[in-house]
Amino acid sequence: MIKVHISGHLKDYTGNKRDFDITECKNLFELIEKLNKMFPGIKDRILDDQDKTRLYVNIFVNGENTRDIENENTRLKDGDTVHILPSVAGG
Amino acid sequence: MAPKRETNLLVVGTRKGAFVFSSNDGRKTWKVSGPHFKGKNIYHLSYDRRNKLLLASVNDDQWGPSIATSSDLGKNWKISKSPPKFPKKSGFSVARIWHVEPGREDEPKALYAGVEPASLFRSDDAGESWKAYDSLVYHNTRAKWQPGGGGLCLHTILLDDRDLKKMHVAISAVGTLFSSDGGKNWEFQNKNVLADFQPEKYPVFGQCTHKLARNSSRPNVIYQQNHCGIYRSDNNGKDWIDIRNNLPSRFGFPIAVDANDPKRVYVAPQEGDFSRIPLNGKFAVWASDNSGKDWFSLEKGFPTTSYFTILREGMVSDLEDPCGLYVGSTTGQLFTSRDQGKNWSKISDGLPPINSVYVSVA
Repeated sequence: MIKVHISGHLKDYTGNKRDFDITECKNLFELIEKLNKMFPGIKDRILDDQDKTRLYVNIFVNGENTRDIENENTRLKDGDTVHILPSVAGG
Repeated sequence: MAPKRETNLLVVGTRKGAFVFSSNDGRKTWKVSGPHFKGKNIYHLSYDRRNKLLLASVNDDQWGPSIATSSDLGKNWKISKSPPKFPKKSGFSVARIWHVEPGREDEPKALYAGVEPASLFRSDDAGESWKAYDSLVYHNTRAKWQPGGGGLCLHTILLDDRDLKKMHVAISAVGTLFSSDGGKNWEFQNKNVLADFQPEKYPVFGQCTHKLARNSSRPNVIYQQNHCGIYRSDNNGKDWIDIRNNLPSRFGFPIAVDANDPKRVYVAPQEGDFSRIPLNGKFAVWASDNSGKDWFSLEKGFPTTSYFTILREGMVSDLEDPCGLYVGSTTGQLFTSRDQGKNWSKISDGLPPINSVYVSVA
């Protein structure tokens, strides 16, 4: 079981729900695809047209930014915690 | 029983959300709802009269761009589940959606969207899903396209009501392109249009078209506000004639045509190229009654001092008689004239910076 917490900005897609338990995902991309099946359209908010994480979106696995791991290929396992959050953009 | 008066709609896209103004007394007073999409950068808000849908290009630096529709004038919105996206093999990603254009009467569910990086998308299901025109994505000159100050954006979609296969688009800073086969192929239409920021002053492409406008009663006549001048074409874009004449500046963003007089055209001159503010600190719309041979200013009711910018979607004309005009500024002021620009009044003050104004009836 992987615990997923998403930003409140995305709650329009999820019916106000922000925490989910997702099973059987090998990597981050698979997890986002699963989220998109549950909440159509949410993938396009997180990834760009090339399936890369949007510039001002940060995804953390167990507190580590996936840009410092393997981006969308970051491997996942049972017990991991994933946060999908906007970066603090601005002054 | 007297026929029910139509509601005049004035829909406004701003840097911090969308606003819907409506008037039921012949444009004398306006009620407003909004901001819709609070905090989002609404580059363009338009109204599809065929399907009674508001169309919003919703841009968000963090979560990316999308297109949303509303069938109840903004009470509820539906965000496209399949928004404009480039094909994977292109290597591009949509950065912003600049313009959403309703299709023609004979293509009832068709919508068009212009995006950055420059490309054209079409929806055939009233905005549920979108597909790119590969002819522009993979255009054989694309590698040489250069962005304008706002980015490499396709911002103008001028559909030909006479023929579903004919349309113009404009890209900054690529110029005007025309398709006569439904978007399968495109030809550049920039003949005689200056690009004096290029080594070659009149190139085949590379011009910075800011906006195109036409009156459907004289469909072969197109007016163009360009970075480097004001132009008219009398042959559907094949050739362009410089019509700056006595205008105080060649620079401006929007251009609009009077609904009832195809020879009457309106521009909003600004100091170019880089300051983009009213000349001498006083804004005026300028009009011509003879297709651009000479121009006169229309300033009664505008502030005596103004240093705002009117962006490319920031001025529009309606279809009423006499023709109404609407101007939205980057300082959040929304002006209107119900008499072809002779007198101006303020509908709203203190809106966020205005990206776009659009009028219709519901």
